[in-house]
Amino acid sequence: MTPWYQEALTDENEILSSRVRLARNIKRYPFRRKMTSSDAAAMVSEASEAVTMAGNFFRKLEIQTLAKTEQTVFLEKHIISPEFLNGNLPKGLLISDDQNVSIMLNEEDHVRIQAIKPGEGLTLAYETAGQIDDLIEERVEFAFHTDYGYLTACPTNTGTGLRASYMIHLPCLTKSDLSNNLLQQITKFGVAIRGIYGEGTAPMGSIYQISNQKTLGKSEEEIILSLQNVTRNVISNEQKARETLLTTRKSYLEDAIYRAYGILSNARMISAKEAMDLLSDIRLGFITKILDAPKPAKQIYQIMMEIQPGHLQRNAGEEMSEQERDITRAAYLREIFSS
Amino acid sequence: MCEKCNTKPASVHMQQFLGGQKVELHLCQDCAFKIENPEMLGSLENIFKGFLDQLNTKYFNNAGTGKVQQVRSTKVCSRCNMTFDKFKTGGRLGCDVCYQSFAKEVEVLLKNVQGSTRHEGKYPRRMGAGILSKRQVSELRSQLKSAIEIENFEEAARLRDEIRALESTEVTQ
Repeated sequence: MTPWYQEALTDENEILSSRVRLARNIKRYPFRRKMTSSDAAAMVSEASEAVTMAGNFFRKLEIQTLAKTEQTVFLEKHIISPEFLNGNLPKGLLISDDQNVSIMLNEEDHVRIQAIKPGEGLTLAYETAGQIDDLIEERVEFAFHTDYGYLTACPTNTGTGLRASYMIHLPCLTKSDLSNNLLQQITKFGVAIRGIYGEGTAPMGSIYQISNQKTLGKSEEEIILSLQNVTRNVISNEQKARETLLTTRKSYLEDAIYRAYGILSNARMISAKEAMDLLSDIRLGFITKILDAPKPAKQIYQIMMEIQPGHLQRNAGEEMSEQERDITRAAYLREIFSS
Repeated sequence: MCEKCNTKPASVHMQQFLGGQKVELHLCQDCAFKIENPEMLGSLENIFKGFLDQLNTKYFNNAGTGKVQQVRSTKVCSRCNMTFDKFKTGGRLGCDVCYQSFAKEVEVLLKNVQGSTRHEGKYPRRMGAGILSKRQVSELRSQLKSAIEIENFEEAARLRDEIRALESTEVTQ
């Protein structure tokens, strides 16, 4: 099985990946805020056991003893959340071999099951996460309320505990300055939209995360369906914006795409943000067939991840200063694009 | 002028239900975006401390009912000793029992944040079929309430019988 970010499906589509997260808490333990260290250790071992008893699908990682760069790599791949690295209570990370399914133990909630699929695979991702939920639930009792559903530490997750999200690439909406407007409009449909690396980070590479805001009052299927509908709408707006750019500002578009290609195949130092934005143009160049150049063997989205600080440092096997990273990043990109 | 930041012109007019009260807001694009997108506000803490409090003070005091519906409480959770004040500042509950210990406050909060207080999704298999009839009863009760409100007593009687039937099968189970 290949990890989701290597699958070929993603390079022409606006949807890069689909992700589902289920939040659960085990009834007999207090939530994280009120946990003692021994509560936390007992909870982690009970939950890991429940997962491993069900089958040999996961390996367990001691996240706290992992090297900093390894932790950052997991963050950059969205396998763990920044919140997961906070605090000193015992934690656990269970991860499938292809890295498409992960279970964070003692993130904000006791159990956070996450499944990622390449492209449009939200329903499949939910099915996978749901099956793991069922397996764990055979062995532990989750905190559940007849009216409110699954109980979570933060009431914004109560109910289904489901956060469904798409990672989408919207280069033309971003270029047309329509993204802000549209993004503001779609929030009226109960959808939240953020940059690739979440709250408080600058949007990069015209990549956005779009997810359901509410977790209570609708079934999982309805939540997924309405996110799919909103996303379909966003994508059709992106396609319209692309058509408009192609008919009214084609020279501008060609110039941006070929400049991106020129810089990526020649630069000697480049920041992650600049590289992401240029890679976004390259991706658009292949989608619109404007760019007449050999397609790299790797998906553009995969390249986008591999130029993040954690990935660069892990591949180099050492910690690097920002300047060293910019040099290494530029060399890596030149190798891909100057051939 | 925007009622939140008081700097940009108000171009969005929205209605929200807060604690059962209909509130009209006139906001600029930026502030409206943040309100509709609570994750943009950062955390629940901000929802509590910031705008909701402003709304509570501004609208609930002046709503004409004289009733102040501030989300305030001195309650303590019987299982984990979490205080409501701590929850307000930290934005996270201490355990599952907090949902009962702060039942009223949580109810208002869920209405505001989630727009609903009724789970319609998946439930643990171990809860069995019982939860389905409970869910059905709760749905029928709200239908009964609306039937009475519009004085459709024939329908109300039918609903009442249906609820009774469901409840008695639940007891025998």
